[in-house]
Amino acid sequence: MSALDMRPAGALAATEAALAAVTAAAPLNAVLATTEARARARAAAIDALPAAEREALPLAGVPIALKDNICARGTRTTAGSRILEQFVAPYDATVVERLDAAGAVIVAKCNCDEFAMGSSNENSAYGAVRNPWAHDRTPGGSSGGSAAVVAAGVVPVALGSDTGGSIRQPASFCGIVGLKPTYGRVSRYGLIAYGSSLDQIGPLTRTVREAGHVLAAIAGPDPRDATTVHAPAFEVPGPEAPLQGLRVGVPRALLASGVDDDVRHAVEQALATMVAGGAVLHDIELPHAEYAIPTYYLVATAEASANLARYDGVRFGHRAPAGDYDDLASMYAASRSQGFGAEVVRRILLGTYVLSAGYYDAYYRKAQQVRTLITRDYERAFASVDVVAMPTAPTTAFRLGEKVEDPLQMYLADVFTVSANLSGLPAISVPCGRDGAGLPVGLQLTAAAFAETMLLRAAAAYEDARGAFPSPA
Amino acid sequence: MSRFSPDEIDRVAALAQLRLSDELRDRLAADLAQILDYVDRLQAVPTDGVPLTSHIVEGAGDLRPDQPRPSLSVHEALANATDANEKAGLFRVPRVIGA
Repeated sequence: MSALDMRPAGALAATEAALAAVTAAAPLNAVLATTEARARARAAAIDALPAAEREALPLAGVPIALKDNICARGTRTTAGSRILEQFVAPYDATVVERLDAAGAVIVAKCNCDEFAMGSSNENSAYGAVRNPWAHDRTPGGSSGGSAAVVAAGVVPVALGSDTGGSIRQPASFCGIVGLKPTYGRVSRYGLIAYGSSLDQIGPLTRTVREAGHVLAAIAGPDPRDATTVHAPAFEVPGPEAPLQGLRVGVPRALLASGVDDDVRHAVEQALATMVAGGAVLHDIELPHAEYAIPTYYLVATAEASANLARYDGVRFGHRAPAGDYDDLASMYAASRSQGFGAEVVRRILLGTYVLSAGYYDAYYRKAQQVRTLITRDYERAFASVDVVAMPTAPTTAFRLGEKVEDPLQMYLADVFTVSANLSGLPAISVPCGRDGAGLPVGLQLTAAAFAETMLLRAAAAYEDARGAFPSPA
Repeated sequence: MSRFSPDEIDRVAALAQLRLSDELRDRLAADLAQILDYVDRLQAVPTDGVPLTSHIVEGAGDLRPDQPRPSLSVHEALANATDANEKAGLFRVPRVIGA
């Protein structure tokens, strides 16, 4: 057993404590449903196992919360949308099956931006989540509920999904670790789809090694998701993770403008810490990174417009009342228009427009070409460095209501995170300091495809050198 | 901000099977115009001969054998529908044929 063991002494006791903590954390609005019956049954079963069998389960008794766009059999799964208010998942996502098999106990479903579309959690049909560090601030998005429950100490682990930064940015805003694995590392079977060439499930935890252990439990090929690959297994760092000799790429030009001074200062401090431990900084160029946001919002919305076509009021989801339509087509339109929130409608329309006749070449095709150039920039960088370092987000947690009326300003908050999705690369956010108001800052490290061993080792080495990071009061 | 006429927004909304209120139509026309003005900066990137990203990781796309295996029961498959005829095993929708 390692010194990092996350497993509690008793599964049922840990489950009861987590359920009580969910209740105590109600003011955060981070949890949409608890899964008490399922959790208690699972926990009791784990406690009843012979010691040797229990010891063999890597996450035995660990309470875990799921973002509410991940299906867990018998639990309401809304994806933060009114259109799925009554939807009860009839099956488990692959990640849920794997967590179960590892001995984890799923205790809650977490609030999120509707269909994972947002950077502040304000697009949830069930109200915004509050940041545990300051209740008038956003926890980030779209996995804001998942980040808030881990930061508040309700559960040690939550799963989120990351299409353009939706694990890493809320981890940054809430002062915890958030890991987006390489595209293809984790099955999305049972994840409610947003942008299918970008979506990836990953963990939010307090420490890098914990994130690695959870990823190890959920990763691996799945015949039910053809995008998963037979990638080499990765190693979770042991107690000793050296910075000595680590080659850290820093895209100076990208950081030259549009980054808050406090964020820049904290990231520079983090780089200095890494250098003091023996890491070597390399200036690198990512010349197409400035095009990542427009590329992302074209690709993601195009894919969303196709994925969200399935919500038609027939097999599942909201159907408009009988008086609101007179034929099949008007039933679809009425049901969809009543069920989707404003940001989802905005993205469906943008995606539909850029895929429509006459505009496809100028927008979607162009974006998929620029995407190739963004990926090539990273491939070039990883020929000479082990990881690339930059802030996770250009600011710390902004105030609720501050950007919600200006979608473009909200999109720009994703400037440092979307490239990893466009290129499929693994990336992690690790707390690296606090701003003048005491709010956490996140350092983002990105590694080459399927180089999770390197990514986790570098992140753990930095984390060790940094020392303990505080929790919200 | 005149990139989208009300007719143009309605054309796109119809493609997406959405119905917009007057207020939402005006708001979305302005939002989409602003967003498209921003994404137009992509046009400045030279991309002649650059392939489209179609798959981002090598080795993906393995298809499983097409073999019958257990799936949801009819009861489970119909459980989330607003209107279903469980006895017949059908989802019910407004009349399409002969309507």
